[in-house]
Amino acid sequence: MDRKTKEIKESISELLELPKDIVLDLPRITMIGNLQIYIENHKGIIEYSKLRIRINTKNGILRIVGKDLQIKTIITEEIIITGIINQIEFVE
Amino acid sequence: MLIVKLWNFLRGYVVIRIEGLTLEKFINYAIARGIYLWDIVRIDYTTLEAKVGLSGYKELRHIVKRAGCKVKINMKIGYPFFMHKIKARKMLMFGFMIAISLVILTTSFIWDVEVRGTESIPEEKIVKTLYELGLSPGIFKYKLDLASIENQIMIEMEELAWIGIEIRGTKAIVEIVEKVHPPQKIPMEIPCDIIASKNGVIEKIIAKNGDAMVQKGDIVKAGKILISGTVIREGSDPRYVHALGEVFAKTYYEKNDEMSIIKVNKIKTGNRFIKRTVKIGSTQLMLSFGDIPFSNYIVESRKKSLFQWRNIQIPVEIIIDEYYEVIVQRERIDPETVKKALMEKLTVELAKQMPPHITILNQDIKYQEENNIIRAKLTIEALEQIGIQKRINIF
Repeated sequence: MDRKTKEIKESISELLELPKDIVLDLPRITMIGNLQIYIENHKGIIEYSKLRIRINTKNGILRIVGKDLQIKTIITEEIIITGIINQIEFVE
Repeated sequence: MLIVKLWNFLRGYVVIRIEGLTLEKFINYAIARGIYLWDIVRIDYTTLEAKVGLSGYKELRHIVKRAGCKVKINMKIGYPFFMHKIKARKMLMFGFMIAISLVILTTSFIWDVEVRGTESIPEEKIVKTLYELGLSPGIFKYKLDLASIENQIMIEMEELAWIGIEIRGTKAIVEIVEKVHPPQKIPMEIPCDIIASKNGVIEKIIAKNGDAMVQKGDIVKAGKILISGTVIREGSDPRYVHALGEVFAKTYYEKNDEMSIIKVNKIKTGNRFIKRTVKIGSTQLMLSFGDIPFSNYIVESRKKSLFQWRNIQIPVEIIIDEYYEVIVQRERIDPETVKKALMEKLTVELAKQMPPHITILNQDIKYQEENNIIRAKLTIEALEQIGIQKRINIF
């Protein structure tokens, strides 16, 4: 059932050319080089250390690995992380 | 980002240390409550440092218990805290205010009057008149009515053509332009003499009215009466007439100069030594040390000042002196070339001294050679009108 609604939503967004992050409630991630990462539409922070940050999102946990990571700003909709970013991955 | 920082500073914020095991939980609770946290840094496994606004800090109390953390204020930054501190130190604030008002007070007086553009009028006379009109050191500058002072001085001193007073800081700069009087014309009915305006040998004298006092070949000095307006005849009283006539005289112009026949050529070797000096106001600070390692050198100075915005100039500049090592070569020049150059130079200089439109009769140049130096003396003989009118004072 859940899967079916997701498929429908996806096809609608494709059909109407609506941005997927709004329709599917997915995070929008913007990076500036490897210095800054900007995550919109997150669902909270799970782990935070200088070397690793895990952020909860709609489609899994986003893991950021790097050096001297710092949370520049954190509010309900967005997080800005600065530092030297080496990896980002979605962990199912 | 600067605006955000400034806003935060004005609102005031605290740097807090959060200690606990479930710090992520703390952050999540804070977001959920709408507390704005920024610059979150992990210090160690159990400690987090973050910045939070004043109102946000009060809200944090509710979360602390739920997350099981301890919050400590590490630093208080911003305008509200600053003001709070100042309130406790009233005397400091008082002293500060006094200092500022003293500066404002002392800069609202004129401390110096500078006069520019004087030629024949003595500066003291202008300064004295200005003092009388109220522009003097120690006067309150905002009370001065410059336009009326300018008008007043123009009325009082007839020899001025224009005056401009500008107040720059505590200094009043008075710029003046003097009137240039046209040569005095004496009306026909007023008796006058014709006198010599400069030294010369009379060549031709035509007296249309009045008595000629000199003859051709006479040597006259400046100021001597050439055509007299006082006519004395035997058997009658002296008559006074308006002397008229033309007096041509030979006048002499002279000029000396010298030039060496040894020319010194300086050839750069390519070695260079740079000396930098910082100039702040009138104070100079040496940046480079050590003596100039060359015995013969040429200096090239450059100045670098900070950007200039409108008329505001920052009185800080860097002076870069570049010392280039040179080899000195002495070269003997042909004396004839030197003589020619001297002659040209002197002719040009003399021509500047002579009034325009006069006839040059002769020119003579004499050279003298001594110790590799050639001295020259140029004499120009010219024919010109030397008569000028001068009023006769009848008692």
